[in-house]
Amino acid sequence: MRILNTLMGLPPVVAGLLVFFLLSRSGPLGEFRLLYSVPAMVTAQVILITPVVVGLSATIVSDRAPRLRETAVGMGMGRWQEALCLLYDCRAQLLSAVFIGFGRSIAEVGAVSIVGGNVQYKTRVMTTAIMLETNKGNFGLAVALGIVLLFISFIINTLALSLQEREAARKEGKQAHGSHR
Amino acid sequence: MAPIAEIRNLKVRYGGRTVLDIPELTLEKGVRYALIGPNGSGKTTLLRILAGVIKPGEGNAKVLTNSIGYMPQKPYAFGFSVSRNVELAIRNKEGANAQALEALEKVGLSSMAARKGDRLSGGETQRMAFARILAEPRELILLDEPTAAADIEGSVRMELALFEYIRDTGCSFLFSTHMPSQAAAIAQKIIMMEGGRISELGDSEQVLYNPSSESARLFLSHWRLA
Repeated sequence: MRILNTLMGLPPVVAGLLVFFLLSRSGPLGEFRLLYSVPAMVTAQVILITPVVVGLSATIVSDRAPRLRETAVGMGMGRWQEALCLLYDCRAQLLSAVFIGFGRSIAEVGAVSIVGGNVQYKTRVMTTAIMLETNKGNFGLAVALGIVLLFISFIINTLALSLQEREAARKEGKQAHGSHR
Repeated sequence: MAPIAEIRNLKVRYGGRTVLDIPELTLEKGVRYALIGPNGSGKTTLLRILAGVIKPGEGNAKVLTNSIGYMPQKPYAFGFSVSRNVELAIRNKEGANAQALEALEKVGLSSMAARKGDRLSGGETQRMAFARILAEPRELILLDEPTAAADIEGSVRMELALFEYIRDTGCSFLFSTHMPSQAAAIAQKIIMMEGGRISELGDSEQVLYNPSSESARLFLSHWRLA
């Protein structure tokens, strides 16, 4: 868990640097010539975001798992069936964790610029484009791109939050139903 | 009588504290046992070990059947329908739905069969979990305070259904309870626990009305008032 928490706070440039070393010509995976390509950017994002999604998922699952396990053992359920039921019951919150991870990844600039190289029509994404336009002094375009990115991020976070709120409302509804009886 | 479970030199420790210490215990086949004792005396830990939820730290806990049904103190309700929640406990899936509905009828929850399991109240969840036990004949039934969250009507329904189940299956049965009337009405033998150890074990009447140790006498004098 300590390692996971550390990785959750991994600075994006460090993740980018790691993938850069791995994929550069003299690196262990250099022969695949993946540096400054979309797969390289995806790899860096996976390294960066996976700990975030795993950490959030672990917190979500650990809330229910002990009680579910005790009941499942008592019912004679197999481990796979138990795991599937746990995933099913946590599905809304887990989906929300995925949205949060996606939201973080689209807002990221350090890792993708190191391993992607911000190549026009190939590896340029909104964040690296904003950085470039700012450096060029095209502040209007940079701000416009920033607003679009912010809007996308707002929609994703709204979806994540509505899933969490739905889950909270479900719990509250249950409690109200329980106390009513 | 043949044994259904045997415990030898069992010790369980949590954070350096011994919560269970049972040198020897044999549960006989077809006998109904009640587990009584104050909070923290090790009742739940013993049931969890026999159910296979936790492993013993030291010693052996051998259950001589694979056909076990265990209902924890706070059972979990899956987000499926109530009937599907019960079906999950039935090994033979053919006709499982009909069996589940029959079990729900016995605990008075048939009208809620289509409702989501995780929308039930605490007492209803306990009754649904009890229906999981009733849905299939098993050789050993372990229940941890099965009626603790149920109202009087729910309790009575569950007790009646339990009597019927025991009569029909002839199963061995071990349950913990805080209700003296329940222990006296259901159990043939009573195991009294104190500080993780068995302080009394014998026929119901003998343990409830004529305990051998002073501490058991003291506990039961308070208990009868409860």
